[in-house]
Amino acid sequence: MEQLVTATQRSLIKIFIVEDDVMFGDLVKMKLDENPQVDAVLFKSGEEMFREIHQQPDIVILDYFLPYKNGVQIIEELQNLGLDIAVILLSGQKNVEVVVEAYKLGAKNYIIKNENALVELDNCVRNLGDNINLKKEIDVLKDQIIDRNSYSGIIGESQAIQRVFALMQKIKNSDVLALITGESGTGKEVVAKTLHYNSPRRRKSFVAINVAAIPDDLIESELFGYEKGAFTGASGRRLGKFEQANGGTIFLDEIGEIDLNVQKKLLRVLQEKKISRLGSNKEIDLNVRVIAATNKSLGQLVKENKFREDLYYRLQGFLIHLPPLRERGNDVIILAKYFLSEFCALNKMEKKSFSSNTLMDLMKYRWPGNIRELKSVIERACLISEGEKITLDDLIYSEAIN
Amino acid sequence: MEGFKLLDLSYLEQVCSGNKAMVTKMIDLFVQQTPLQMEQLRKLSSAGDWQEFFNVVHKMKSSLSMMGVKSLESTMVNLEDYSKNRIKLDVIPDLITHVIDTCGHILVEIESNYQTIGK
Repeated sequence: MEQLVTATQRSLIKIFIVEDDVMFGDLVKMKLDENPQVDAVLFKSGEEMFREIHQQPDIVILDYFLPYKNGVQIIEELQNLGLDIAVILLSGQKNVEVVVEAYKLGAKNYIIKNENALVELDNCVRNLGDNINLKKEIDVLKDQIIDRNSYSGIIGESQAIQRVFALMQKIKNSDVLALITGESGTGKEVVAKTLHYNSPRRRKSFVAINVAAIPDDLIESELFGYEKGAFTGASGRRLGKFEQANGGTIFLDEIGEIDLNVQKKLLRVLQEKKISRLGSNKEIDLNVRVIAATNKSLGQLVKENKFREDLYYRLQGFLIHLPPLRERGNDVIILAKYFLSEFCALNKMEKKSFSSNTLMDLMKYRWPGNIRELKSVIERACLISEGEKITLDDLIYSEAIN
Repeated sequence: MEGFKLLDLSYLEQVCSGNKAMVTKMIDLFVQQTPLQMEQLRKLSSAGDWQEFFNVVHKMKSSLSMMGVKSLESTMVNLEDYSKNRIKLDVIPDLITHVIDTCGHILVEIESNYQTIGK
């Protein structure tokens, strides 16, 4: 948090003023310079300003009558660049059509040059500054989440996991539907998050839903949302997970457990990229990347008539199979050391290590619960162990518990 | 400041929040710019470049308003209107003469009172 506050305090609001009236331009700049949070630069034309646009101003203040291009044309050009810049038009031009056009193109404010203009501008900049600072704080937090979910979050050096890395790299910039398979506890959600946070969608939402954890009669409303009065108890509109994930990624965990009726609707969503909330006929366009996961054989479920064949084939977009831990060789030791170190640090405990025969034992074990089980075993051993070393006596495997 | 008849610096002082250096800088800019703009008005009207003429008038109108020159308000509005819509072009020379004369008086007024400005 300290790092976040420091980053925010350091950031000035960068403002570009485009005004060819030297006198008024200077006055605006001097007025803005009174605010210690502002770094204002004055330009005499849009051309001059665009030459410095790489400095990424937070706010651009434009006059309407400018050489070569007027203020509205400059707003249009700024929009085409796709930059996140707040635009204020500060002009003597009172023509309603110009004002409407400016707002249509996304101007945040239109200030008429009159005796209150500079006070209004100062207030407007302060309000926008608060929003810009909030956005910057959110960006810092997003960056922290992205860092935490970088490829380094997937730990291991075995050939089996290297193959997974290679597959993930192939689709890192793609929107292709990915199906992650593997036994329970192999890290399917970690892989899904890593795919999202290393994709162009990384700054948008990652929405995970465990299909198996939601009762059949609720899954449809959870996924697609509903309108007020859609069913008894629907007291207001609610967005479904697909809408929440719009622009980002939805992770459908345990897809094999999904109800047959909902499978049909899901297939339509995957094919047409549109949803309708329950109780509404209105279709909503979706721009969502779908990542699904299962620990079951979907093919077997199709044979048992528990999974639709058409959906099965639709989900075969890009398969990533996660190996069970018992097939990952020395990764067991690497992961065990990682979990031990992490647990000690989180719980402010002295650093601990494994005795050599403990490591041998960890390697021999079959790990039916995979990484999830390994993590539990290590954390438990860490709490049980008396000294600096974790010994065989501290290891309690699930079978022993059962 | 009391010696001003054509100017009223109260608005400028208000927007500069009492910052006298800022007020002085604005007046300096006005003194530098106005003779150039007067010259431009003459040249552009002779050349019939009404688009550029309009731009200069528009800027002058804003500067004069900042300096509290009320006596030229309607003339500047008319010049803007006529040049933008290309109407009544025959009366423009007389209006320019009026603007130039008045601006000349303003500059003299500033010069004779300059010592008091910023104090």
